[in-house]
Amino acid sequence: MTEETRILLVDDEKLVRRSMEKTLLRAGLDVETAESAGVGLSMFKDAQKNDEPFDIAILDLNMPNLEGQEDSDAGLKLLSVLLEVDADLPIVVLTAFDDVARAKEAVARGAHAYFVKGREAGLLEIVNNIINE
Amino acid sequence: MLVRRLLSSRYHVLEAKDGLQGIEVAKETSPDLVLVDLHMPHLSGYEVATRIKSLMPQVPVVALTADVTTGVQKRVLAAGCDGYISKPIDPDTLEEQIESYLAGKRQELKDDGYRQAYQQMLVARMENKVRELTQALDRNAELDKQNLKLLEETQRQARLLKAGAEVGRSITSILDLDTLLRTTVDTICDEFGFYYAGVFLVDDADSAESGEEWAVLRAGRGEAGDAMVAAGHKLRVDGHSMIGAATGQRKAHIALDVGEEPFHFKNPHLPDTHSEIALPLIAGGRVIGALTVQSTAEAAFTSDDASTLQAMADQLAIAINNAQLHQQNQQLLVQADRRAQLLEAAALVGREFTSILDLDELLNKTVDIICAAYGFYYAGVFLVDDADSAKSGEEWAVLRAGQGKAGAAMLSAGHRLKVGGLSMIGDAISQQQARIALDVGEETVFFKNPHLPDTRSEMALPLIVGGEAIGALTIQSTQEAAFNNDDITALQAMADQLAVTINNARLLKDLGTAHAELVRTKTYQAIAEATGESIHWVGNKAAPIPGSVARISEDVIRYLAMANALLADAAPELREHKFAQMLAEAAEEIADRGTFLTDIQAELEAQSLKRLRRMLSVESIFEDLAIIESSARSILNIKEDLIGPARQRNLEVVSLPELLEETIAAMGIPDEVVRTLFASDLRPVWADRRQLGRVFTNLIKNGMEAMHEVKDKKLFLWARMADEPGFAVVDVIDHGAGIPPDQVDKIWMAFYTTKGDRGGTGLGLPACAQIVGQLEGKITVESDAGLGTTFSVFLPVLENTGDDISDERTG
Repeated sequence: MTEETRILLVDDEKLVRRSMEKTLLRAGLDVETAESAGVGLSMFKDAQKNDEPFDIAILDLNMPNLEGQEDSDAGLKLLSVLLEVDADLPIVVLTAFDDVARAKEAVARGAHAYFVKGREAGLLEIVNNIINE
Repeated sequence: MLVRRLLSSRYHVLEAKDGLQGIEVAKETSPDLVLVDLHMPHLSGYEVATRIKSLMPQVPVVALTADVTTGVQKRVLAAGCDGYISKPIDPDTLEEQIESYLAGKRQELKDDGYRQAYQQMLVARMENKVRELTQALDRNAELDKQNLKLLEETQRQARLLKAGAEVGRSITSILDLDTLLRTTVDTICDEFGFYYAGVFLVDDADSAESGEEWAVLRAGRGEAGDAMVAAGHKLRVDGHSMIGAATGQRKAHIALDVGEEPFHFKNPHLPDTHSEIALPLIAGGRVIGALTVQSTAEAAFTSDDASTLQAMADQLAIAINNAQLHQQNQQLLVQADRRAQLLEAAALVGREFTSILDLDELLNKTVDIICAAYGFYYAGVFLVDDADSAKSGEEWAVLRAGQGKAGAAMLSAGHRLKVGGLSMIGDAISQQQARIALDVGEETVFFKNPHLPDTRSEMALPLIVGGEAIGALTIQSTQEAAFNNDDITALQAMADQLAVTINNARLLKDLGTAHAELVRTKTYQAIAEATGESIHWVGNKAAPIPGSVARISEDVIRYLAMANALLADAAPELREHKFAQMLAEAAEEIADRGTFLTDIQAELEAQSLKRLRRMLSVESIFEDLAIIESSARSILNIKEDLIGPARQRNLEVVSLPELLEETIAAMGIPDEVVRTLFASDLRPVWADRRQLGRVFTNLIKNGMEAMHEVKDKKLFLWARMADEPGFAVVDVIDHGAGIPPDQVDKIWMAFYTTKGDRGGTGLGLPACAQIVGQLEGKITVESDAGLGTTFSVFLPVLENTGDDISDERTG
């Protein structure tokens, strides 16, 4: 991987999104963020078109879906779409501490890993592991 | 004949068949000559001759006779004849003889003895005639008498027939049996002029009971009749009485002299009866009774009378039959009416029952309805007390509802009857059968109840559901024998319905208990879910805090590491500066926590300046602090939303315009954004000022947030009296994005938010609804996607204040 690993972070909770973005930025990663699945998907496709594809996608599960509706499975749907576009894309799924089951399902569907929101050093470790693989 | 044939060629011949006619013809025609036969009926030829000769002396009269003895000839002449022609007639000489008499020939009678003898004969014949006439007159008189008698009989017959017809006419139209019989006996006596008449009817009920047939007097003429009817006068069919004989033998019996009649019942009420006729009353081939007609005269009844009276009796029998049928019809009609009434009452009772689901109310209403609908003295419902039964091993039926004061007294006394014990209720329950006491004095199992002294008949109806008697219904009447079979059927049907309804009410009570249990469980579940939701939510809100804290710690350490690194190479006097001492102490404290600034310093030295700037900035520290603050604020808000409505309420008179103005001011919303309109007749509300303030804060905040993408924000607050009496309404109107139709219903759900990342807790509206609900108001919402949303808060206003009252007084 190049030094500047490009990461797409999609989460609708503003503070959570910003906090994770900061953590990743401080680790020297190139992070771009989106507040919904729809925005995330169009950013991902634009990046591919501009030959600056994202190396890793980090997706929240519960957020507005591709149609803009609040959807607890929005992340899973985006996951499927992204894997269709790029089957090898490493994807990390974000989940609340009390909703791990669906995150595990996401892993079964092809996500690389899941991260329970909170201790962000853990997310950084996951990302570093992906980079070092 | 011969004479005419012989003479008609020359003379005009007039004939008469007898003497009298001959005289008449002679008088009318004045003939030239009269020929008279001596032997004729009625008047003899002599007498005719004498008569004609005295009428017209000039006309020659000639006798024709076969007897030509001298005596006859002389007697002919003595009678006045001019001569005689002997028979058989000689045709050759007849004409010559006639001509000679016409010419004036006259034979002289010399002997006056014949003239005298003729005179005597005439007198004798006259006497004979007179005698004959007298006899004829006598015979005429006799005939007249006979005629008169026949006429009288005919007239009597006619009168009887007329009377019969009268009786028939007057009775066939009478449908009431008693009136019919009364009218019949009166009409018979009035029309026929009899002393007494009475009608007996065979009493079927009596007959069926005793095995003997009796004819019971149902109507009698006058006081005698009334006395006998009142005394229940009856005669045995086939017994030794004329009525008994008439009914037994199906034929009329006449006693022309009652003293001689073996069947005549000597009746002290009718001392003057001398003859009597008893006529069977037969209808449809069945003897239904008998009619007695009595006269003070002996032998007053002829066989004609008998047949006339029998004809009338037959008519009477038919009329009686009709009247009885009519009476039966009437009874059936009355029964049908009563039945209809009962069924209607049952339907009413049923209707009332099914709408009542509270058991006690049902039972109390039931006894009231039964008494009101059927007009009974008392009604009560006993239910078998299972708990009691289980405890004592004995089953008791406990009075659960009783009508009126008696019922209330018995209820408070805990009146109960043992199932299977000596009471109608106990018996009805244990036997699962209706018990009826038509005369409670005679009923062995009737419980003598001091509270219900006037009860004369009682019915105990078991209340059966699914083959089990759950209790019994008692119905009591002040009348003896107040219940008939129809009543029992109708009331039992009602009791069955009541039993089902009682069972339903009980099931409902059970269901109510189960429901309450379920509600409690659901509530716990909801609380658990809500708690789970809120923990989830708080967890999400708290998620960024550890990251921010970690970064801030890292940043502080990095700044300290950078400072300490610079100090290490600084001049000694600078290292002695109190700031340097502070930094050294901090490094020591950090080292105590296991982090060594030298390590950090090495990491930082390795980075380019550009990279360092990205890793570390004061701006980043402040941003992380802001993230922590914002997260913490969200968590504090959710705490308020959860706990707020449950706070102790301080209710006071609140002026809505005041409260709204305060709220707007406290929220710091610019004047140009909010427009208010407060109606002048708006009444204050009774509310917790702080809680109601939170409601409007929430709604105004929602409105403002809905318009976050709208450039020219306008929020409109409109407070006025609602159309619904006793309510004020405050509309909070925004022209923001609106709520999508499929989400309108969800906004009242806890933790549901349409605000995406704009920080709604999803608890604001549910909390508002809860607070307004506690004030007995309501919140409604109307929203058009793209046009905006109106929240309407309805609150009950205070009654007229003192000012209003004085206004009304003066106005």
